[in-house]
Amino acid sequence: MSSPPQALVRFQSQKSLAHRLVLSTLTGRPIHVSQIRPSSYANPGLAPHEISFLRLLEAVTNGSRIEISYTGTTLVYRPGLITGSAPGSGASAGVIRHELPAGCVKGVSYFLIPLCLLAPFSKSPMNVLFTGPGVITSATPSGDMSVDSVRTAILPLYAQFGISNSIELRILQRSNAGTGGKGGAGEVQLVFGHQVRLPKTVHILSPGRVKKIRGVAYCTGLSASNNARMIEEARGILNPMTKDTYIFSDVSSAPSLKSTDKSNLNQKGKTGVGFGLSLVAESSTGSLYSADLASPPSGGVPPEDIGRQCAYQLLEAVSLGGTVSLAAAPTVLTLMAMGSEDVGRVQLGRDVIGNESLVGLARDLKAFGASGWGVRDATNGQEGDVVVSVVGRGVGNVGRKIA
Amino acid sequence: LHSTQRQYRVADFARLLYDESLTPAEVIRKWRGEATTAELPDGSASNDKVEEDENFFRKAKNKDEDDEDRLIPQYDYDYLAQKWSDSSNLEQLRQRFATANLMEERHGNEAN
Repeated sequence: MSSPPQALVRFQSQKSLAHRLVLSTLTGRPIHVSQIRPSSYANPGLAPHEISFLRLLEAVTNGSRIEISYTGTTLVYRPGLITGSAPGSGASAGVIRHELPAGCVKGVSYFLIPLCLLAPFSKSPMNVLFTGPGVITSATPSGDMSVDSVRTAILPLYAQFGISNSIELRILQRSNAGTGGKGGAGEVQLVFGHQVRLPKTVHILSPGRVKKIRGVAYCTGLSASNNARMIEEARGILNPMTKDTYIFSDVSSAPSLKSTDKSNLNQKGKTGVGFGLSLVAESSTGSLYSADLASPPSGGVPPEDIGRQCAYQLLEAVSLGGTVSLAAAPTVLTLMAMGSEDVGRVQLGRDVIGNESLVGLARDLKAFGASGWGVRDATNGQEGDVVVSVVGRGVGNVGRKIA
Repeated sequence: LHSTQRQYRVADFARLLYDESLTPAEVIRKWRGEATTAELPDGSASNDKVEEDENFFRKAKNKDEDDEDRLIPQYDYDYLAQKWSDSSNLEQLRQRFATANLMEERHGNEAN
């Protein structure tokens, strides 16, 4: 197999770096990213979570090449084939262990959501265990959703694309963000066993009405009363909207961190203490809207506030309208762009499509050779909704096609 | 210039979306019909000329903060609390919930 060297797709800044890397891997086009935090005095260049994400890409692909400049502000990534957790490529007993460093400030959903986008196109099933001192399963102050929301608001979306079998996200150890928002020592395993050649073309046009609200209140290393207090407050706001509101309570002990202090190896520290709430509203047509909030690492916020603010955040997400929430839109639009060469349509609220990150995504997709999005006014649903039509690229499973 | 323009027109958005001379933030502002001139990307009015001398001594703003990816936007929860305590806002939102009484709503529309 020999293919002519492809021109690098060039980007600047660290903005949506993970998503650009995913698009690069899916389309098989190498990228060059410059100006990564060039003017930051404290931490110029790639951050720990980005380096860790590159390592993860290296683990689930075969033949990827990564070049990082001396200062870390420039990156060249040449994607390989997505192999998943195939034997003989870093996986032991079919599981890839991925350790996140202690300095990681991003929640594990930062890794999970892009990884889920790669998984359907993988050669063999994806089975990755996230472990180490940097795994935060809760929502984070840096704007990540919790693992619970990934499981209940992102993964179900794949079913609409005909990807629904043996997908599982196991939360083995919960953790909130540790001191200073860094690290947490949780443990999460993603099993994504449904590989397809091409995702189905979708037409998601009917937002429906919200009929039920589900949620998970979690606390690690704290009294269960925190959960009760969050739930009580959130229900107080949500119950008048829909009676079918049920919030689960999950209490776990805080993960212990092995001491790195050589003089005192037996001393163990607790980390990732805190609480949080994940709420998901489901409509009659299966549209999902999620909200996430966790206690800040510095503490000092009563659980009532978290419960109330999370409920308001959910109402806000529902009020934006459309069939796909802001947090899930990148996933849906990317899968549509990777579908067969047919026009798929999705209805989005105008403040969802009118979001910086989605405009950026539209441009990134175009840079990778996808055709532009068509937009028009929606005929049903909330006033101001926009229908986005996306033509698939038909590349589907890059890995299998070339290999 | 854009004050007379209708806000949120889809045709405008289609035109602006791939206009590479605009940053995504500018696209959004234009589409919403918000003022684009005399405003810096960080939202503060440009009265720098007066303070140019002071600027020299001021610590440069760390713009990298704004460039970090956030899946969940930073909300002003006081504003949200106010918005969703307001009964007319809640009534409007109720349309998005299955609990809304459709018969009554239709009846009300007929009466109007």
